[in-house]
Amino acid sequence: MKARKGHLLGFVFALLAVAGCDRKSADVHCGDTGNAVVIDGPILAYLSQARALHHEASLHESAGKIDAALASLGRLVAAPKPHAGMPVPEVEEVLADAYARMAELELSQSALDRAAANVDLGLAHASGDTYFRGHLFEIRGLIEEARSRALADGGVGNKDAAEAARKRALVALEEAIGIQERVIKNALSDGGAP
Amino acid sequence: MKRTGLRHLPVIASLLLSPLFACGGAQKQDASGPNSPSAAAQIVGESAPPRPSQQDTNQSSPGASPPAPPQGLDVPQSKQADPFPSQARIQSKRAANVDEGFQRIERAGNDCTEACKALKSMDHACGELCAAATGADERSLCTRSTDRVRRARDTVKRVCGSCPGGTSVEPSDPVPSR
Repeated sequence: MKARKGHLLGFVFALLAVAGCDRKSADVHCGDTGNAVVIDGPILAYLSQARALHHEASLHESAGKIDAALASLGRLVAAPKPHAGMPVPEVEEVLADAYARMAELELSQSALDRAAANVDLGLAHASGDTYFRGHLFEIRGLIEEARSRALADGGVGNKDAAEAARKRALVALEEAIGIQERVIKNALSDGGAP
Repeated sequence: MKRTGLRHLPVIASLLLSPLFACGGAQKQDASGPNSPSAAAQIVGESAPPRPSQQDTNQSSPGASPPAPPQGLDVPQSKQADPFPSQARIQSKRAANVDEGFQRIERAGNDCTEACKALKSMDHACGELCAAATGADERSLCTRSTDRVRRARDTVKRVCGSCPGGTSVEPSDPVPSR
């Protein structure tokens, strides 16, 4: 599986959000959600905990201990969330990214059903056109491709199921391309302006 | 599957947080509060420079004169002491411009980081889609998707110049780029 560092960049974005909030007056909320919570101590603590658990997972992954890496990420997604019930974009991104990483690790183990379930869980935390949502659809495409191959290798009786999985893979990958295309357009929409 | 991003995190975080130290004086933030740079620095570890705590500041002797500003820094004088009030306004405007400049740089860097990540994902998804495509309709979908990737590369190249990690921004390069 290719090396990926999306989760780390997620933390960078989270830190950027912290920096952005720091530069505003104390009563300005971060993010574009009307009811969003100000970045505060509990959120910073959660982000720190998330970073530590990702690092722990990376150490396990480097040692080939995929189950242990999954356990670290499992602790992350199960950890208490700051401001439960309130939208905190940084926390949502952390969760979407953690589920994506879990799905990739499970895909590497050919645990396709568990991987697909984690993609679904991740998508619940990634609404709108974001990198995280596009990446989750990309992983869904890879999972369905793998499922198609596994079914095709399983015998003639699975041919229709394999073809259905292949079609689902194409749909998911096309969706990923569309989302990421819009992410790029939105991110750079004023980049060429004088 | 070794993950390589961690080694860049302190540098990136330092870049992101450095404007806080440069421009934070204009904000009404409690330096000991959770949103303060020192709190953020705890997350990124050693990347943030040490800052004197409030306690340290309070421990200075009452009669001690305020510390001299570092040499080479333009420190605006107070309005009462400044014989040239217009100079203070100029300084204030300069500070605001610097602050705005930092924000612009931060935003541009952030946007390109986001765009490069999205381009990498798009490039990979397109490669997988084309590999799985069979039949005329799906090959046509592959062709259209490849064109979208090439256009996205062109956009990213025009605005950001390049992307880290080997993600190509050359429209003429193969899709996927690796």
